[in-house]
Amino acid sequence: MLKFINVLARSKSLILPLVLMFSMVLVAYSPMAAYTSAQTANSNKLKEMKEQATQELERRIDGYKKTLKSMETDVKISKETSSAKITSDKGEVSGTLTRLCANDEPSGDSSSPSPTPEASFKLGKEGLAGTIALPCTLKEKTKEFLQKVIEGLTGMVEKVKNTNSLTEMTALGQNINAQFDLNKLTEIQALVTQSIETMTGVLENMKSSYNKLKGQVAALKECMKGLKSGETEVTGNITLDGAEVNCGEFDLSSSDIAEKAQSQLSSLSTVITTISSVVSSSVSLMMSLVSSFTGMVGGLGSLGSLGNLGNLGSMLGGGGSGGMGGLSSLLGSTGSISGIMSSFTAITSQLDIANFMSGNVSGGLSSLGNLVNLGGLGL
Amino acid sequence: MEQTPTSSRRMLVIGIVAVVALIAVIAIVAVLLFGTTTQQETTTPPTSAAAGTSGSIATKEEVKENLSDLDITIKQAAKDQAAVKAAQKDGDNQIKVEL
Repeated sequence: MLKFINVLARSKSLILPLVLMFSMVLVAYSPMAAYTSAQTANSNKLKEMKEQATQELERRIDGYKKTLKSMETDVKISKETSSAKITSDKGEVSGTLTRLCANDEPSGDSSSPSPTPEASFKLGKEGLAGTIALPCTLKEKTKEFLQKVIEGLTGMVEKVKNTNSLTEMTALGQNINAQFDLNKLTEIQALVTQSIETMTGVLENMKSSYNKLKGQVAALKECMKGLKSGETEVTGNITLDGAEVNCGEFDLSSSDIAEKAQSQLSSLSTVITTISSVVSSSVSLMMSLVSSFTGMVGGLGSLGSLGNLGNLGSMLGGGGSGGMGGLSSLLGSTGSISGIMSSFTAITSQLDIANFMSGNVSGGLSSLGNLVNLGGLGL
Repeated sequence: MEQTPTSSRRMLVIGIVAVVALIAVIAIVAVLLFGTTTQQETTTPPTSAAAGTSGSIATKEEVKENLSDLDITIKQAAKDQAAVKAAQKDGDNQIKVEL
């Protein structure tokens, strides 16, 4: 071999071919180097995208599972005390409990009328009357939607894990980004449903407490009539509307207690009725929104199969918050994602007001209870 | 006038049928007037709440329990609201896949 090279080297006429050969090698090397570099970049990009996608999917799945868990808490009415109680698997209250919800179920079809809940509590002779409650199937429906989303996202985690193509991963990435607003809307719908349900329980307890205290105030007034001049106690029981009353339970020490109590009852009934009106309007709006949402996702197929829609990004007009117009025009639906989301924000604001007022009412009822009952309630 | 055995039997049957029919009518009227009202089990609580349990005036303990339940439900409502608001802000935590 060395002899051969020596012979070649000695021959000047062979220098040019040698140089040409070397140039050819160089020319061939450049694209090969570029190709290898591109392959490495693609591989890195694929890895990065897979990591981001997996993190985001797992983050969403984890959050939505926690939301579903929180929805296991129900509001139930105790038949024995007519008091609404928060129940869950761990904290189940013993006794006869019935779930606080309305029997009518929404049609799910936005063209047919939905059952209308009562507008507000009504104040009658016996106290506040009426029930504000969500339809029994509405909460189950919103939970089901969220469960489908979780199933769909879980399926996508596997897809991401198994893909080795940058093109395929890019499509998956677009889909994941595009789904975000819709996934978030599904979760918020479930959470708002839970929030409204709890508020109906608050209302039920306010109504029940008010009516019981109203009865006590009526009994106190009756007991006052039996007081002799200068006395603060009535011996024995009296009868009021067929019920026996132990006057010893009430504070008869001052003649104006009954008047003060009546005045407080009057103020409280107004506030409670207002709160019931706010919650009732939230219930109505919620029913309408779930109906719109059902129609909207119906056009996309199942919420659990969104990951199979390779063109979801383009369906939503490029994904993310800028895509609602595309979806609306595709489905011909008036309920775009942003529109429904705004409505949920409005409900949340209404419930904030109701919650705030409830705190004040609770204080007012406790104060009234302490005023009427001898020795106070101890709360 | 002499009655034949056939006509006597016929009269007897008519009499028995009439008595049975009368008893049936009386029973139907009695059921309509005094029959029991069946309580339908629904998941909606009664629309008008009594002043206390079993129509009697509520005791201090009953009022206290109701107010305690009210407090618990108000606190739960506040937690639920906080969860909604946290979800509304979830966009801040989104990890976008860089395409």
